[in-house]
Amino acid sequence: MVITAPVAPERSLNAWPSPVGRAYARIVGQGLPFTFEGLLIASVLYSMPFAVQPFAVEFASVDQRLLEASWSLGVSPLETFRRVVIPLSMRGLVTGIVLSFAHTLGEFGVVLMVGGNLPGVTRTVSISIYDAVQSLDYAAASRTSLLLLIVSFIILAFTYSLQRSVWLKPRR
Amino acid sequence: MAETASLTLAVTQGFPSGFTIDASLDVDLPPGSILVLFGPSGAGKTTILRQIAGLEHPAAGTIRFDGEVWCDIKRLLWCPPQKRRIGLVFQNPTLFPHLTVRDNVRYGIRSASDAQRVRGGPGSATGGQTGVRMGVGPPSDPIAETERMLGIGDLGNRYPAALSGGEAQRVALARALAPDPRLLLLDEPFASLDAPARLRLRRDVRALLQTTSTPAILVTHDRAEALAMGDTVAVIIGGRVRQVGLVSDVFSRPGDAEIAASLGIEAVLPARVIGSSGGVIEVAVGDVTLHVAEREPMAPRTLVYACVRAEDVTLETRAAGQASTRNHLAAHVVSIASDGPIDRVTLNCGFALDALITRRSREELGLTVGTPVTAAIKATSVHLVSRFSPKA
Repeated sequence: MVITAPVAPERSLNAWPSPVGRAYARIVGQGLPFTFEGLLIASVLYSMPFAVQPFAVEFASVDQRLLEASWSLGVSPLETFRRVVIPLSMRGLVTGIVLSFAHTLGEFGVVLMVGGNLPGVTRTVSISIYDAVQSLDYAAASRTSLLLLIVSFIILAFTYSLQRSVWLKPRR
Repeated sequence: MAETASLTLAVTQGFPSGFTIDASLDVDLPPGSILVLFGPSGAGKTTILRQIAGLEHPAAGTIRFDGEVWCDIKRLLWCPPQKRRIGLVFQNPTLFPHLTVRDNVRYGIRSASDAQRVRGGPGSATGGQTGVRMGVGPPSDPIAETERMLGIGDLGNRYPAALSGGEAQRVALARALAPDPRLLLLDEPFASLDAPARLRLRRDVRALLQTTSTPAILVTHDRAEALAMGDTVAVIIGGRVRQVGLVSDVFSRPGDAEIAASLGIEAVLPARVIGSSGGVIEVAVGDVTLHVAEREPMAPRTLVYACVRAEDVTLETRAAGQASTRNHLAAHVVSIASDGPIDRVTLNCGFALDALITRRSREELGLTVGTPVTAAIKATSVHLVSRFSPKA
C-alpha cells in the first residue's frame, strides 16, 4: 500500500467543520492543517504525556515541609512553586523536555496527517526520509537517517551528562 | 512588638485513626516569653501547633491571635500561613537545599518594604522600634545580628548539605526570625541534636527571643526542656489541653493523676543558687536552703528548679541525729492520701513537698494532719535544672 502525502487544498473559510477550527481560521486567516502552527500544536499534544510523567514524579518528590516552611515565611504557593519546587525539580524538567523533544523529532504519523509534506514549512526529517525512500533515492534517505541518528545520539548523551552534573543535582 | 499578645484557641479535628483533637487554650504571650506545649508522644501537640501555623485546617473551632481572627470555621474565616507573620522551626532542619545559608536566612525577606520594616525604617538615624530592640547604637542589620548571635555569620556561602545538624537548625532558626515574626513556633527543634549542641542552642534561643521580644510556643515531650525553656506550660494529653499555668505551678501541682503521670511525680521548686563548696551547691527555695550534689558547678544567683522525687523524701519525728543526709527540713503534715500500701504525705516545710512512705511507717510514726516532722532529703536526690530565663 502506498501512502500519498496530502497536498494543501484550497478551502473557503466556511469549510471548516468544527466551530473551534472555524473561529481559529477566522482570526488567523487560515486553518491549522498543513501549517507549521498546526504541526506544532499536534506535536505538543502528542508528546505531552512523555513530559508530564517525569515532571509530576519530580514535583511530588519535593519535601512537603519545604513548602510549608516557605508558606510560613510569607511566600505564596505560586512563588513557592517558582522558588522552591522548580529549582529542586530541574533534573525531572530537563529529562521531560529532552524526552519529548526526541520523541517529536522521530514522529511520523501525526506529522504526515496534520502537517503534510510542504518543503520549508512542515517537512520534518522523518518525512524527508520517507519521501526519499518513496522516490527510490536510497542514498539521500541513508544520509538523512544517519544525520537523525547522530542528532539523537548527541541529545541523549547531553541529557545523561546533564543529569550527572552537579548543578542540576538537588543538594539533599 | 512590645505588648503582650493573647492567643485564644478552641479547635476540634478528627483523624481516620479515631484520634481526635479537642483543645481549647487561652493564654497571654508576653514579649520574649515561651509557652510550652507539653505532653507524651502522640498527644496532638504538633497538630495543635500546625493549626496555629495555618498548616492544618481544624474541622471546627476558632483561633485568634493578638486581636486577629486566624481561623473561624463557622464564619468561614481563614488566614493563610503567609498572612499570619509567624516563624516556624521543625524538628529536623528543613533548609532549602538549593540555596546558600545566606539565601536561606533571607528567603522570607523579598520586597523592599519588608527589608525596611525589619531594618527599622529608611534613613532613620536612631532606628525605629525594631531598630531599638537590637540594643544600643545605630541600627545595625538585625538579620546579621541574629546570625552573629546564633554563631552562623561565617557560614553564609555554604550549602545546607555542608552543615552539621546543629548548624542547620541554627540557620533554620535565623530564617524563621529574619522577617521579624510576631510569634515563633518551635516543633521540638532540639530533639534531633546531640546533648551539648542542644544545651547551647536552648540558651541561645532564650537570649534571642529576649532581644527580639518575640513570644514563642515550644512543643516538647522532654521534661527537662519544658522546665529549662518554659515560662508557662500547657499540658496536652489525648488531644486535650488539660492544664495551663506557670511551669513551677503545673509541675508541682498537677491537676489530676493522669497529668501527674505525664509530668513525672516530682516536686519542682523554683530556686536560686547561693553558692557552692566542695561539690555541693546551696540553693535557696524561698527561705529554706537545700544542699544539692551536682557535678556541674553553677554560678551564684543562677535561677534553677530544684526537683525532688516524693519517694526520696524520708520522714523523721524526732530531731535529726548524725546522719549522712544533708537536708533536714522542719515541716508539718498538711494532708495524707492513701494509694494501696503507699501513703502520699503532703508536707509544708516553707514550700509544699510530697513524701511517699509505706502505710506501716506512717502508722509507726503516728502521722496525722498537723504532726510536726523532719523531712530528710539526700543531697544526691535533689537535681537542679537551670532555667534559661534572664528575668530576675
